[in-house]
Amino acid sequence: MAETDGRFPAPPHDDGNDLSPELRDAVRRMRAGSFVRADWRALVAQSAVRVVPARPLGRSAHPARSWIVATPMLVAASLVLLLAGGAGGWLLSRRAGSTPPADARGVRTTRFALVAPGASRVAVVGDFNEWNPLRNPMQSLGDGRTWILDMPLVAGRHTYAFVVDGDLRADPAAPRASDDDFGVPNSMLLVSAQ
Amino acid sequence: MDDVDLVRLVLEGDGRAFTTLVDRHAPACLRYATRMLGSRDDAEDAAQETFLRAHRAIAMYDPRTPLRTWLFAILINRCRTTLLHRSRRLRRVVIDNGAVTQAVQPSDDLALQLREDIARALAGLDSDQREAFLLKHVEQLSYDEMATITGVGVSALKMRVKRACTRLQGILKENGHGGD
Repeated sequence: MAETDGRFPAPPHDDGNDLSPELRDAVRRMRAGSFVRADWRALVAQSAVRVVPARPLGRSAHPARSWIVATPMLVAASLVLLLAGGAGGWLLSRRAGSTPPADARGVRTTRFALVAPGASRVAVVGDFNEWNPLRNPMQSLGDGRTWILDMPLVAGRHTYAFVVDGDLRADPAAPRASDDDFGVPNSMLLVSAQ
Repeated sequence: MDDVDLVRLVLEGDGRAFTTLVDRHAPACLRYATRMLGSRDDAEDAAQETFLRAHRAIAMYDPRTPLRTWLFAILINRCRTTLLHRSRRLRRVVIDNGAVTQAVQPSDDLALQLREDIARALAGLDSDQREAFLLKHVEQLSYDEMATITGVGVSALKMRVKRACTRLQGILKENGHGGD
């Protein structure tokens, strides 16, 4: 970048916060080209390749399908029906008193469940599988709407989401992660070591 | 090829398109994060996390928003989280002069002292003032863009930038860089 006179031109949207000449000079130097390490660049590129991006919302490969996000009420209703119907066990990972105990390493089997009528592929992604939707597909219960997956997770806080036919969705029955990104639906799960 | 075209290629599975986006935006992300966090290692971690999160959520990207704005929204969250975790241990920004100095390509030796003084002055600002100053004057975002990605109102942002400028100019004068 060529610098001709050492004076820093005011940005077009500057609202009058005039900088002193010394600060202007300092800012100009701060804007100089940033150094990017080659191995850092390679690491980012390689890591990203392992993570398959979700398909655009509303532009699914299955446009005729009218998949809807299940409301907590729907999840609860489904839960009651399934339990009453003899499905047994527990459906939502956060149901108190029903989860198996953690093993000696603090690993605990956690069950994810989602009601997604009409979906053809559902997976769990999270910080435990590098957000890779290929790694942990959920199993359909055969009712055309309920998907479950048992996963061993280490005790602690996890952020996760569901990928439903390529679209990322937060868990409607779980709290949103506090460090939720700009429009990225993350849910939070606490796996107890007790 | 503009950012929107590249995003479209990423969604079609073109890994090289994402690398091109990294090449295009990583310098600004690393520059901001290094100045914000005062540590090159932390900055690289925050920027790496930013690009990975952006990649996995790229389907959520709205082409009406500049990609840089979207990336910075994620990056700012990463930097805030890093500072929050760090504050539980240190309560202060760690000044890594070497890393901050290397964040930009050296232009001339005479500027070394000024760069170090600026790095120290920036680290001495409150994090919200440092964030606003860097976004406004170094990254040259508009106040509307800043409000969108920080979640802070325009008036509050202007006040933070003004206070940061006043404080930085005072520190520069104290270190012999002022005109008086």
